[in-house]
Amino acid sequence: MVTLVSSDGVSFNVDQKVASRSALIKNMMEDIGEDAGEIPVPNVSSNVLKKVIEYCTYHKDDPLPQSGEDEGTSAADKKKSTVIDDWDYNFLQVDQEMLFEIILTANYLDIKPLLDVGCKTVANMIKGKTPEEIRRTFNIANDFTPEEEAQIRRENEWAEDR
Amino acid sequence: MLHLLPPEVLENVLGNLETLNDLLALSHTCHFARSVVLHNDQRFKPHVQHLCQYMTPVSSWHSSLLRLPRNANNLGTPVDDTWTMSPAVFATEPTKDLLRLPHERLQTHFNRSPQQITHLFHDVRHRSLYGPIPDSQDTLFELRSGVGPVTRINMSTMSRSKAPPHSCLHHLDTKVAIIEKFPQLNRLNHMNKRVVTGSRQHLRNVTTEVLVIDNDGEAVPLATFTDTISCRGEPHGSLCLSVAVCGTYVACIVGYSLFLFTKRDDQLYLADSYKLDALYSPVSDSHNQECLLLQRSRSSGPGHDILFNISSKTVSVVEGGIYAISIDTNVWRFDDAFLQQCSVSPQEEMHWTSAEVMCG
Repeated sequence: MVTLVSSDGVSFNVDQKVASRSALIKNMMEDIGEDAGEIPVPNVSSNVLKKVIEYCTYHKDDPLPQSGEDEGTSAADKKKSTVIDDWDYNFLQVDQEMLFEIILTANYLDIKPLLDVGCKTVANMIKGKTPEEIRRTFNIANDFTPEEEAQIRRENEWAEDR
Repeated sequence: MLHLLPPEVLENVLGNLETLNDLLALSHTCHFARSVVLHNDQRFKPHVQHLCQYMTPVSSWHSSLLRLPRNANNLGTPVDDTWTMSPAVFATEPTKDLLRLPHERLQTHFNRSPQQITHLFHDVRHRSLYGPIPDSQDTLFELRSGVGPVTRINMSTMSRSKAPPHSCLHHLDTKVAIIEKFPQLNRLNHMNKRVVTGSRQHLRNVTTEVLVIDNDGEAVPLATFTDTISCRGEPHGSLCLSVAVCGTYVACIVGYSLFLFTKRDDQLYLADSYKLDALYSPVSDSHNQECLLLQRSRSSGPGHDILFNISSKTVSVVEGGIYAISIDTNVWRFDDAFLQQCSVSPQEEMHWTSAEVMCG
């Protein structure tokens, strides 16, 4: 077992196999050895860390992605993998703040499958929406000037004219 | 919320968007999203290149140029202070068959029946070169090379645009060597392309050293790129570097200097060096082993980008416009005004407004 300590001081006892889903923690455990003891996970709050551990526990028996596996992946291959399985889909049915925290944590802890499925979820939130709908979805402030918006309208005309 | 995600994560998100419309919609939400989309997604490059003309270069590490702290004492030759950023240096692949108008629109746009026109293509406002047309069976025009059509088609309008050889390039005395610490050539190519695109993701665990060899033959380290490199910084006081792979050559532009390297025994060797007349960015063309497109920074129209034939050491100015090739071997080239007219009034019947010329 290894103990992960969140930024707010909450400890989580985790099976090493589960913790190894994170390439970062796996490397730390290999460097430190069996006496890993407590591993601090700064910048990750307990509620987010708990969710990430839940993901890692469910996927603990999945094959680990190989280093550099994503490089050179063709667009067609990526397209094939855009499907999110049911468990992951339900797992990521969280509020947007939590979703982004999970993605950031997956990026920080180097949990590639979780990062990928999180990014797919965000992409799905963008697909098929108009710019205004995307702004509303992600609470984005429109910082374009009227002149720039006019340019964008012209761009749209061009796109429609393809 | 999107602002919270680091660029490499945003790249991952963009990779899951499959349609141009989704990318366009995202790029139209705010400046930040726009800069991310424009700089990161390669699959929609031809379209992005078009959008690029509206874009103001961003001074963030989404920038496609690497800017390095400049130390004048370490440079073998003085370099100009007027560093600028190019929004278009990420164009590293030949554009293929881009923006071909659907046949049903040919009649509307060109007042010609679709059967009369076998190929129709244009270069998106002079930002890129033509790629091979996949279904082309007409070898008369040698449209097999990404840069072929521009130079092979014998048209009066094209010959008028050509510049005298060497008018844009001058040899340099100072030599530069780049040592790439990569085990494989394809990895090298990949890395260089990614450098051009400004992606930090693929720079991890990579060390690239740029050495300047001054006139006395002494090697002076110019810069070392590592995974800790930051592209942040102001253009002034920094050194612009852009790299592209062209056939067996690696082209590197540092400021106004163009350096060509060849690879032997897993090492890069300097093949030639030139002084440029303006700030350019190199664009590779994997389908053409000899020609290197140099895109002029902040190019504002046709005739600014130049095509450098490495073997013959000749330079020609790249013209832009829209072209159509008919089955009776005629070639038409249309000017920008006509293109603009098409986009503004797509429903109106267009007539030929440019000179119709024969291909010799």
